[in-house]
Amino acid sequence: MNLKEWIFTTDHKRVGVLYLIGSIAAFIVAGVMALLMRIELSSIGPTITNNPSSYNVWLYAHGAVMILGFQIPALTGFFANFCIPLMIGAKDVAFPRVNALSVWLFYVGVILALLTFFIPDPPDVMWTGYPPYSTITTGNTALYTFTVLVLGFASILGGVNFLTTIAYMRAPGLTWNKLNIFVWCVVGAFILQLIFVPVLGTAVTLISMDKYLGTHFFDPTQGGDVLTYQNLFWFYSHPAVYVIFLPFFGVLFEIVATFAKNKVFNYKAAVYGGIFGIVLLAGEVWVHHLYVSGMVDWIRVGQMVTTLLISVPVGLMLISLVGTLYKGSITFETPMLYALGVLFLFLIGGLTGIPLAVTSLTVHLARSYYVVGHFHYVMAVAGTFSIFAGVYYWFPKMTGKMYNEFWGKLGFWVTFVGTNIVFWTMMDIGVKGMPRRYYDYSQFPQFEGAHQLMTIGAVILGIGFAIALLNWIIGAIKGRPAGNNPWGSMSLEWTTVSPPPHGNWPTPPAVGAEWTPYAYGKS
Amino acid sequence: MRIDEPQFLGSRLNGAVELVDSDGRAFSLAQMFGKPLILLLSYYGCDGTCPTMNGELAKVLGKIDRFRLGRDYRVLTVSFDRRDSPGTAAEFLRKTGGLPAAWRDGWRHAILAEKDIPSFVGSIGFRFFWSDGAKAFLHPNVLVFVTPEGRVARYIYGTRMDARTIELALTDADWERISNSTAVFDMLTGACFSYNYEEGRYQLNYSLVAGVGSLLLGLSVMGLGVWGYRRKIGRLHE
Amino acid sequence: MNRALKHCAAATVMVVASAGVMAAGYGDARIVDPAPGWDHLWREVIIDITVIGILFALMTAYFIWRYRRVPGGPTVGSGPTLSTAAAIGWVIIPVFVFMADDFFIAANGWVLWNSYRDVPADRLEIQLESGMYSWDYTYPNGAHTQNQLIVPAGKPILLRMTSRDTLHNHFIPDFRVKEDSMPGRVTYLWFLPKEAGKEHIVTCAAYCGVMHSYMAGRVIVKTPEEFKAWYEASGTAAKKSS
Repeated sequence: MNLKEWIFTTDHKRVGVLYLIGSIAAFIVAGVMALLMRIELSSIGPTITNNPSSYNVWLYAHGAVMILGFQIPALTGFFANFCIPLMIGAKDVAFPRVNALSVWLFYVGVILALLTFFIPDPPDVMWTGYPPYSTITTGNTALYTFTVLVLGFASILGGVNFLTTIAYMRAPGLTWNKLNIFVWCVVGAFILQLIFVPVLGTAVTLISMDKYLGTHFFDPTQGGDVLTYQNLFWFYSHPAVYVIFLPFFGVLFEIVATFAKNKVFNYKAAVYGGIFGIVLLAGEVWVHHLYVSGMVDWIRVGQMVTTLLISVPVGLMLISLVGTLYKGSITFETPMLYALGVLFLFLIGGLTGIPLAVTSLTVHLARSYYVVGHFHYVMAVAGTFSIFAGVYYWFPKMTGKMYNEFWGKLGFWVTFVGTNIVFWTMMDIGVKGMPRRYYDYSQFPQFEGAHQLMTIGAVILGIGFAIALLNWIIGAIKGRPAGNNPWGSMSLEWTTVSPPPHGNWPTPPAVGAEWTPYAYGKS
Repeated sequence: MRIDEPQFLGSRLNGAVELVDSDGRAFSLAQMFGKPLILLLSYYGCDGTCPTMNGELAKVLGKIDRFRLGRDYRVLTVSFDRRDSPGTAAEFLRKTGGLPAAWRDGWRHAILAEKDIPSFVGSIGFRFFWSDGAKAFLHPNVLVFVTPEGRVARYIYGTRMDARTIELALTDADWERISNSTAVFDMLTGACFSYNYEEGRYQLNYSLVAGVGSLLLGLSVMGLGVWGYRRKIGRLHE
Repeated sequence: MNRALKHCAAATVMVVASAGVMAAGYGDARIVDPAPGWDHLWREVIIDITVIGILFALMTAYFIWRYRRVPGGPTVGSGPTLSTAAAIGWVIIPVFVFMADDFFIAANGWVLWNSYRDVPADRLEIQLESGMYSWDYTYPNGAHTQNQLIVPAGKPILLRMTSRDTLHNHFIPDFRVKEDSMPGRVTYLWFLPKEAGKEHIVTCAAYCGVMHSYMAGRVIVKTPEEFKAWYEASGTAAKKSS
């Protein structure tokens, strides 16, 4: 195995693994930022830094890197790359070289994001980059802009590639209605990426133009409008939540179906009602991020209704997922443990979003720790757990080896405990009035105990993740051979050898009329 | 003589103020609310900019078709000179050429009681003083746009007026109605233009235009892909 | 369910009615304080989502326990193949249940929203200019304070807000209210201080710069008499100094 072969690879599985390595590195860096912040907040007043700016930079890096460098690339980069050609019985993606270009761009983006820690004027604009602050700060807004642009471009290349692959390169007999749910989810996610990423690109480009080229897009004294940026930003960034949500739900479907040895309950409802319902609604709900931003009243109320309606497609997907357990034959290996954990924790994350959809309740809740707790339950808990579940699940396929089951389960339980300590407490003090993005909270001395508890929780959470990461590394080096289909799954990716060779199958598979990826007990 | 805008934008005028118009009819300011209102402070003994302002406004309003004076909005010329009376107001109106019949209900020329003048002009940040040398009042030439519920929405300066600016300022002042109406066109104009405080005029909201443009780009890329896919499948099945 | 449907119908009526309310604007003399309304709606929504959450969780937990693989049991699942009617039913019924709940919550949210935005006519209107990193209040008589909002008990307070630099957000947790202030636009919020002698934290809830977390102030509630004395004294002082 030589390095050059990996860097210049056009094999979708290797590109996927490169995505995984890069995004895990990003995850570790952003996780360390989170720990630093938690330690800083463990007492009132300066704890490990005297400079609020350092805290703001950590917070910026944590948000931007977690979302743009970890979640989106891991889900739409790693999982999509590794699984999709295998799931649809293709030799590779449609444009393997474009695929390689996209992973290089992703690495450039991650390196740009990490430059934050090596330049004298790191960006401190939060991952949202709202003007006017982002146009007057001494921090380096340009770095933020370039990071977003490069990662966005990588994602667009991925989108074109995967949509083409799925549309044209399915195995003979593999019709649209037989696709894995995960494949459908990736279709939904990339439709959203292709439509909305250009808007984000424009928004972040305009703030850098305002700052460095003297334009006045967001300067009200010169006819600009501050609020337009927020609208443009969330017009992408809310759909981005579904770009994360859809693939991770897809991963859950694969895992739950495999470990329950059962067909997906009401497949078509999940695909056409759930996934496409979300795709259709995704672009009509962004104003719920602006409920207290001084928008016109009528639009705030109108989008309360559309935001609440998101519960309908999400509910359909959840029913299909839980329904898949019905009359199953369930076993509890590590991937399934993580997936079932998500089922419960996503309930908390999803349902706590309902008050945030209500305009009037948000008047108190917006910009508080409640919001932070809520979206961490959705993204950091449900999203990250699903990524971990997926990596465990496809680990034997990727490496041909098995991880250690004991440490896998232990890692899960430790993270499960840690995560609830942190984010439940976070929501609790948020309702009581703790605002977000605070370096210090001397006006709220009553929350010091809760902050200390969260710091302890964060350390536990960190240990849990570290156990899983070490388990992967050790498993990849000296795990026992796993065999081609250790989970007994019906899905196509398990029909080839582990790890699959370049080209995936000696002769590409064709599927019969009776076959679906979830047709357990049929053959 | 500029008004300190941030301090006065959004402040509410006192609707209880009593006025008397050029026909001698008494009315309260609140009677002028309910529709957007253009407020023009003048004095009727003026032979300088006040007749010009009133005349220019009349000319420019004549060019606006989307909104009708009286039906959609109102204009109120108020004197800040304590020496004015309904008689001088009528005389001023006659000298400046009068108003077309259709406008008579929508545009009134009024005077204030002497005791009300300082608080009224103070509430919109308007300042003036008498110059002995010029034998005239020095004051800003400004149109004040007031929302239907009586809040200051916009100041537009200058004796040269532009129909589009007035139209957009009326739209701006009209949020209350627009927010409930189905006039999508008005909503769009409200969102697509933003006010340039430095130059005192409206301009395209360029960042929004850029954003919408990039959205269209995304949609068309997606649409192109779907179109291409359908064509290809069609051919395969033939 | 029946209750939810009733609320659903009520919601439609309210949509029409509140358009009228919004058009009528600020003329209402009756004071509807949104803060207790917030607490009430919050409780209602929390009960709602807790019930849904527990039902879902119990069902999931039951499935996991009931259909776990046992030695000698089936090794593959036997999930039902839905007929077309059943498949559609499994979409239509949940969709209506979810939508009924959504509209029920939305209707209640709308009612509360109106009390947040319809400011009582009898009120004290104070101008707020926010800046890095202070709150500057100007009273109608010219009195000026910084980071201390002194108000009389029992009178609705309207803040008319602008900002001289970046985004700020005037957040008073005790009154359940916040709204952004920014350059170029005027925004407002209102609240009803009730108890004289109490102080309430004001804090910035929109990331505004390096010292964001230190941008704090207080609402100081006085009795109407105390307030009047203070107001007149500082009004005169403001006139003298200008």
